[in-house]
Amino acid sequence: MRCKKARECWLMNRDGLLGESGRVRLQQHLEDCPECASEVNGMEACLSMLESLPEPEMSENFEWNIKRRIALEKTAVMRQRAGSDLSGRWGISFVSGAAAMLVIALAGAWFLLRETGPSPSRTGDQASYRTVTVPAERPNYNINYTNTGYPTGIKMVSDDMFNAAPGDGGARQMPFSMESERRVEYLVKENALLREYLEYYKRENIYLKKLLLQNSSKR
Amino acid sequence: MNLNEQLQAGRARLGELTDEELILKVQEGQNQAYDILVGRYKNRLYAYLFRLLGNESEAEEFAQETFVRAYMHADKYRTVAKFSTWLYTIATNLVRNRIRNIKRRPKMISIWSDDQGGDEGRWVEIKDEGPSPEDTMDRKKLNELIQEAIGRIPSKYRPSFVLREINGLSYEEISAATGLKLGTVRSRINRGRTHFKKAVTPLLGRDIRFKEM
Repeated sequence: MRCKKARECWLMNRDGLLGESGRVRLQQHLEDCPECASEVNGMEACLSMLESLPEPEMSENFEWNIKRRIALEKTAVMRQRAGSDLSGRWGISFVSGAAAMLVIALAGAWFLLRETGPSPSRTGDQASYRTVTVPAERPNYNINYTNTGYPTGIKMVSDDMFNAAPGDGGARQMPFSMESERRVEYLVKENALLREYLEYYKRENIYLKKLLLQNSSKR
Repeated sequence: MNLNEQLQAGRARLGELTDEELILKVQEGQNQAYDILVGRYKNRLYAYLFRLLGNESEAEEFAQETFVRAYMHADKYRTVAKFSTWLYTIATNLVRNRIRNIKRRPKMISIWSDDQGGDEGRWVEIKDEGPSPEDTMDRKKLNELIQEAIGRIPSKYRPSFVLREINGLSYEEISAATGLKLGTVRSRINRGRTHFKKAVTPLLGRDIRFKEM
């Protein structure tokens, strides 16, 4: 047996992987080769030091910390799941609602532009203001807003729904939870009212601009 | 029998089960079974991680993380492997990721830096303290030096070496825990032994009396 092979066999023997015949040959080689004997004895001494190593001590609250961390992990997982459920459930509703609102707003803007024509320029083309018919009196626009965000001066369809008493035949339902046909009907009415309201504001705007022009010409 | 006695009796019954039976109980939602598993393996796992990392607080942190992950992924455990092997696999992967992160950081002095030079100077200094370290150093100091020697084994060979020499796992178990082939495991253990011997020999000095085979 060569020295290199003998040292490999010694390691195998240490792990219990060497057969009886191999063990005999190894023993024989080590008796004949003092260099190999010294080498394997050195290795044995080194490795035996590991056997006498004491067990390292961990902190007393080791198990408690594991339980605490598991509880935290569980909470995080539950939150994550709850979050993904909500986003899945509400995401589609939110997107469809936002799209409907956008369509309504665009339709409203289109109607306004078609009926009133282009508004005066904001950059100070004073001649264009003089051609505008100014209302004889400033309209009364002391507007108070309701919980729907619309002014009390104009009665909105949604006011009825919000202000109705509970158990009033489903009158407290939000517009988007209604049947689609009724919802469209309500929204069309509301759109008409909003356009009317915008008209008032435009006239107020023209009136204020006119006042501004008059004041500046007096100075 | 009152509630406390019932709980103790239930715990005693669980204590008679094997690791694999216990983890199946955990899969069914019995948290008490996991307490028993933690109790069985905390010392062994902590010792393994401490020998790998060389730092008590870090070893504890990793041991806790291992147990937490094992619990959170208990449903993924399959009875084809031993629970202990699965646990060591999680721990070894955690350490492996840590090594990768450290290696990415530039110019970090760490216990995983294998060949950073200047080793001889330090070892010679220790050797100069006396001919026989066991005579001159107390046991604690010697343990620290052994730990340092383990830390000098290249990180590639260290897990296999520690699992074999300290935790006493079989080649097959180490192979399952590390994901290496049996031949590779054997080679890594032997290389680890050689590195350990090289690192620890200066500690022993010339007067060491080698054990007879």
